This record gives sequence, structure tokens and C-alpha cells, in this order.
Amino acid sequence: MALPITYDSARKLISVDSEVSYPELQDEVTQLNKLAKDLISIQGEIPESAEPSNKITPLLKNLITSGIDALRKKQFKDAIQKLTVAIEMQQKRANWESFGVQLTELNGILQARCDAYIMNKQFIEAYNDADILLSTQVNTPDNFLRKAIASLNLGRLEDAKVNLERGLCFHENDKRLIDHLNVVNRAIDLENGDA
Amino acid sequence: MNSRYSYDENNETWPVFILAILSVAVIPLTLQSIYEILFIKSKNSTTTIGSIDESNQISSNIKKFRSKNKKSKIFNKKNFILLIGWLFITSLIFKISTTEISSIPNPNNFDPYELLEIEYGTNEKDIKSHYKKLTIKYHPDKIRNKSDEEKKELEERFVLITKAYKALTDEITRENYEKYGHPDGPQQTLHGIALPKFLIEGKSSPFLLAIYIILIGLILPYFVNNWWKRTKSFTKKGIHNDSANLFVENLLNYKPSEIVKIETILKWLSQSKELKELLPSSKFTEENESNDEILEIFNKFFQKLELKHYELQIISKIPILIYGLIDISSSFRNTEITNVAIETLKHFIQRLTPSIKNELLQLPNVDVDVVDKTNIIRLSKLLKLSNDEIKSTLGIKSDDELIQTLSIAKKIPILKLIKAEFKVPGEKIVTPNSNAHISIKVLVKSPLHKGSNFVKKIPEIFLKEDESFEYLKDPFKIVNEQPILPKTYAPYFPVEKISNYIAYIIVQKDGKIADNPIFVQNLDLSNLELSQNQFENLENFKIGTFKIPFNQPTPNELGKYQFRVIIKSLDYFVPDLDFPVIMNVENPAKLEEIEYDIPDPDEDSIAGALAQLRGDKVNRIDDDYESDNDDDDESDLEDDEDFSDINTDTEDESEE
Repeated sequence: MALPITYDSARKLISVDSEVSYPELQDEVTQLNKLAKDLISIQGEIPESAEPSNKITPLLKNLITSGIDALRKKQFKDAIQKLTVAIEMQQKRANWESFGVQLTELNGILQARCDAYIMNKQFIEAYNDADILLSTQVNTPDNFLRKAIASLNLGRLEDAKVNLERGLCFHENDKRLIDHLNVVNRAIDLENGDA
Repeated sequence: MNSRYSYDENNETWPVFILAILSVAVIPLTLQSIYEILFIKSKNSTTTIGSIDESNQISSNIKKFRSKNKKSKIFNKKNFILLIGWLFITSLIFKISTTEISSIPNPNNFDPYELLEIEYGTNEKDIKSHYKKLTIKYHPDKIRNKSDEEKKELEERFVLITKAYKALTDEITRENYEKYGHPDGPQQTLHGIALPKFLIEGKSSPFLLAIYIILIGLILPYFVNNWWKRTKSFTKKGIHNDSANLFVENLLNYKPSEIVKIETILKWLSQSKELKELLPSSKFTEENESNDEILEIFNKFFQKLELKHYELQIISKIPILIYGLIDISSSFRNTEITNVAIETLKHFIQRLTPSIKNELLQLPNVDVDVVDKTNIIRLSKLLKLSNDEIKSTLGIKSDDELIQTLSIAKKIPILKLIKAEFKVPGEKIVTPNSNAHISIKVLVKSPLHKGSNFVKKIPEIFLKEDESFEYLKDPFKIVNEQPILPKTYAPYFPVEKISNYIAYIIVQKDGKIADNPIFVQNLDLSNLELSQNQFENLENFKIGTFKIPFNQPTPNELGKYQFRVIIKSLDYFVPDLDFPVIMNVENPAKLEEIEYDIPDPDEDSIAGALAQLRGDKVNRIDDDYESDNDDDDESDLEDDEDFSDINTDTEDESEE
């Protein structure tokens, strides 16, 4: 039985036959091609360890610091732009570079960008960033607060309540979470006409 | 051995035979349907507390469909067959009672005791004397002045008496009697068939044969096959295996980055086999992978267009499919899909498309365009407005319609959480490795009632549960004792549905479902009838209880475990209950160790021997002859030191 995969030796790429549709297979093949391309494109030796590349790290660091600076100066649009570029650049890291390092790096950028979105009142974007942060198991009170504030401002009171309560499960005495939960509960009562 | 068959020439036995078979089938079935008529009916009756009359709202189309689908409890096929069964039984009983039973004595029946007119177990001496008396009475030589026939009969009797006597006294005859039941040795065996002869040996025997062939060769395999096919192709939850596979496949391929929407669930549902099978044959082909036909029907339904019979049938299958999907998605621990599946079901039941105003739109006589403009989204907020304001908010035209709308709106139950905690029956705390459940106390209120702060004022005493032995045996009894929920107000859904709630536990750590959800059908809605005053003064006030079993034993390690519980109505758009519950696993308080002053058993007793095997202390017997000198010395020494302590115990301790 012939596999629905063909290898193009000239371009050194694998492709899935267009007739069959396996979205998961397509995903994996794309990943594999990227990894192969990354490995081919290094001119020198194949790296022995998963150390992050020296070229990108300082550039990224510069971008992140300037993004956070902009955030401090309340230039939110500028901050968002810089951080978004940082995320894009971070995505360009080669596939073999340590995933753990990449993830913490990404989380750091996302947290900053999420704050920038919130301050710029782009709550849907902020919600998405906070959602990614929480789904990668970074259960810090800040992240719960980020998501709750975003959903509160989007009018999703129940969602905000659930996130604050979840945050309080892990950080029982976090003052900010408790305060926000009170605000949300009051808003829910108001919405129900119970206040 | 000779044997022959005797047929039921006199039509005596076969009616009894058939009566027996018939009654085995008919009587239990009759009892079952009587039970169903008497008891199940009362459960589903429309007069349950908190039910909403929807008869004015139902369109004629739906009404027709419901009455077609509804099986009458009394006039149905099963009861008709039962009736025929009973007619047969009565006619058979009549026949049996009128048939005279011919009493031909069976020549094979030989009872020596009866013949000799003595009691069983009489000793040989008495037998002999009795026999002598009888021989005198029946001896052929003694018979005079009798007709020939009588003479013959008496002679036969005499022979039998002699045989009987021999059977009890003579060695060989006795052996024959004991072995074969007759003094003359083996007799002909008779086998009776409870069928009239004409059926078997007459012209109709091929007919009987044909019946046998049809019964065993065709009908039986047909039923077995049908039954097997059904059990094979449907899952426990009643959905088609192909549909279940499809759901599993969809869940496996589901990417966490994708957002699940109601449309996603609709698409999954539309691919399911049982819905496709309901399409008329012109539109259904086995290879037809596309599900546009069914999506089209969903669309028509949500656009409030009139549906054909088969289309309504397709819609009526949705709850079962969604229950199946919920079961599968919760096994995958997928919170998002489970949530959206439940929402989808609600949208079907109320025939509404996704909108944040659905709490208002589920009411009758509502103008969608007017509701669109208001910024009220909650039912309870709406009902706190004045009647005129409600009228203008919902776009209701007449006062009659408003009264109708309000009467329905105020009966939609809203739940408020009072208290939720993990409980281990018989314990005040949650102990490690025990069977726990979550006990949830809720306040059932009408949207009309004010009550967010009120929840905190409810006295503890209302929340106390019975701690009796009965409760320990079955902690869920308190839930099941609550009345069954009424029928859902769902005038546009093709079939009637009993209201229910779904409850599930989510692990806070990863945000995934902990266990399969439970469906709850018991809750007391009588609070809905209370006025605000009665409500606040706790008059006739009822607290609702939910209990969610926690299927794994509680963790072995002490500490706090965080969970979140969601309770959703499967019928109405109302705020869900969604709250955190923390399981605090603690060690049970240790009992104070009481030292019982039980003396150690003596060395030479059985208890002592056992204690020695266990390595416990025993009382040594001070046998002067066997005790060592060392021992003596030591004890002497100790005795010198402390005279009060002449207990042999110390001696043992020092030894060990």
C-alpha cells in the first residue's frame, strides 16, 4: 500500500497527497519540513545541544525591554507593536532549541502584551493572551486577574467570576483577586436586579 | 421396554397444558402493565409542583406530532395482546371446568397397601391376619348368588389381593414391586402427549410440522437477530455506534486552539447515523457523506418554519444524541465541548439561536426586535420592573398576553448556592481514602423573588441533614426523596421533556472534568409559588439538595484539593450555578488511647499460648521445679528493692 506521502529530493521536502485530507498529518509534515529546513540552513556543524541561538536572544531581549519601556511611558500602541514583533521573532527560533526556554520566553512577552492590551482597552485581544497564558499552566494570580479583567470588561461576568474563584483556589489570600471578585459579584447582582 | 404414546383423545389434558403455558406469559405481563398504569403515570402527571401550562403556545403541527408519538397507557398494542390472552385463558378455564374427567383406573397403579386396606408400614403379622380376613371375604369359592360380571370382578380383585400380599411378604415379588412398581415385574410404560390425536396423526400433521418449522426456523431467528442487531449497534446511552465513533473521532481530532461553537456541535450532530436514517429514502444514500440535508432541517427549525413529520422526528432525537455526546466528551475530560453541548441542547429545547438575550427570548409573546434594543439580559432583573415596563421591554401587545408571559416567567426556577461542601458520611471532616460526595444546598427561587443577600440569612438549621443510620446507609436518599421535576415549558420542541439538571465536577488545577456528569431529576420547586413575604419569612420554605458522588476515594495525602462544580439547567436559559469547592483532607481525630487493665494471660492457657505466638507478654507460672536459679535470684533481688512490686510482670520485663 502506497503511503499518501511523497518526498521531493530536490527541495528536500515531504508533501502529503492533496487527494487525502488528514489535517493532523499535514500539521506534522509541516513541522517536520520546518525542522529539516532549519537544520539544513545552518552552514556549520549540527548543534549538539538545545541551547537557544545566540543571534536571536539579544535581539529579542532588546525588543522586550523597549516594549516594556513603552508600556511604562504609557505608549500602549507602541508597546503592543514591539511586543508583537518580539513574539513573531520568537516564533522564528529554530525548532530544536529548548522548548522549555522558548515557552518561558513566550509567556514573558505575552504577559507584557496582555497588560498593554488591557491598558489600551483591547479586551478581546487581552482575553486571548490571558487564555493562552492560563492554558500553558502558568497559574499565577496575575494571569487569573488578567483574564478576569478582560472578561469583566467584555461583559462576561460569570466568566470573570469563575476565573477569579479559580485563582483564589490557588492563592487564597490574594487581595487583588478578592477585591475584584467582590466587584464582579456586585456587578452580577446588579445585572440580576438583586442589588 | 415397550412404550407407546397415548394421545389426548378425550380433550382432557391439552387445555390444561396450554392454560399453564399461557398463564406463565400473561399473568406477569399483566401485573407489569397494571403497575405501569397505576404508578408510572402518577410520576409523570402534569400536576407536579412548579409545572407550567404550555397548551396555549403549542402549534397544531407539534401537537399532532406529540399525540402521534404518545402511546396511550391503556389502549396500546401490548394491552390488546394481553386482552386476547385473557380471553383465551377464560375460555380454557371454562372448557376445563365443563369437561368430565373419565376415571379409568390405571392398571399400572399398583398399591399393595391400598389393596389390602391397611396402613403403610403395618408389620408383617398384621398384614398376614388382614390378608386372611380378606381372602375369606373375596375367595372365589365363597362367592355365591352373584352375576357373572360381578363374579369376574371379584375374582380379579382376589388375584390382586394375593399379589399385594405377596408383594409385601414374598421375597421375589417384593423385589419386583420395589424395582418396577409392580409385583409382576416391568410393565408397559405409557407416555401421554397433551395434544389431540387429530393434530398429529390425522390429516393436519403437516400443518403442525409447518408451524414448528416457522416457529423455530423463521420467527425465533428473526427475533434473536433483531435483538442482537439492536444491542450490537447501539451504545449504552442509546446512541448509534457509528455516531459514537464519530463523536470520539471528532474529539480526538479536536484542537485546543479551536473555539467550539454551537455550530460545531450542530455539524457533529448532523453527521450522526440515526438522523440520516430518518431522512426519506429519496434523500438518503449510504455513501452520502454530506450532511447538508440535516443541517438544512436544523436551520428550518431555528428559523421557526413549519417542519414535516420526519423533520420533527429528527429534531426529537437530538436530546439522546447530545446526552451521548456529553457522556463521551466528559470521558475525554473536555470541559469546553461538554459546556457547549449542553448549551446546544438548551437552544434546541427552546428553539432559540445563540444570543445573550435568550433569558428573555425564551418567554412567549416576545417581540425579538424590541428585546434586541433593551440592555436587560436577566430574567430576574426583568421581573423586578413594573408591568408596563415589562410590556414595553418585551414588546408585548396586549394585557392578556402579558399575564400569560408573566405566569410562565415567574415559574422558571432560578438556583442560588447556599452551601457546598465535601462530605464523608459519618464524619465531620474529609478523611483520607474514604468515599466522599459533594453536598450542595441550593435556594430555589422564582425570578420574581429578591434574594441575593437573603441566601446568607438562611439559618443553619435548614441546612442540617438527617444523620441517622438510614442516611449513613444511603446519603443520596435525601436527594431522591425530593419531588420529581415537572415537564419543561418547551412549546416548540417536538417531544415533551421532563426538566432536569446536569451537574459535574471540574478539577481546578487543569480545568478539566473530573468525572462523568450526573443528571438530576429531583428538586422541590414549591418555593416558586411563595409570595415575596412568605419567601422572606421562610414560610413553607424548602431548601433544595444536590449531591454529586465523588467516584474515586479521597486522596491519601493530607491537604487541600481544589474543585469547581457546575450545575446547569438542561431546559431554560437561566444563570448556571458555578462555584469552587475545596476538599480539605484531614486526619481523623485520634481516639484517646484508654489503657484497659486486662491482666496478661497465663502461660499455660490457650490465650497465653496465642499471646506468646504474637510475641505478647504472658504470666509466667512460677513452678519451683522448673524455674531457673537466675530467675529466682533476680526476683529475689527485685523483691528486696521494692516490696510493693511483687507483680510477676516486672519479672518478665526484666527478662525480656
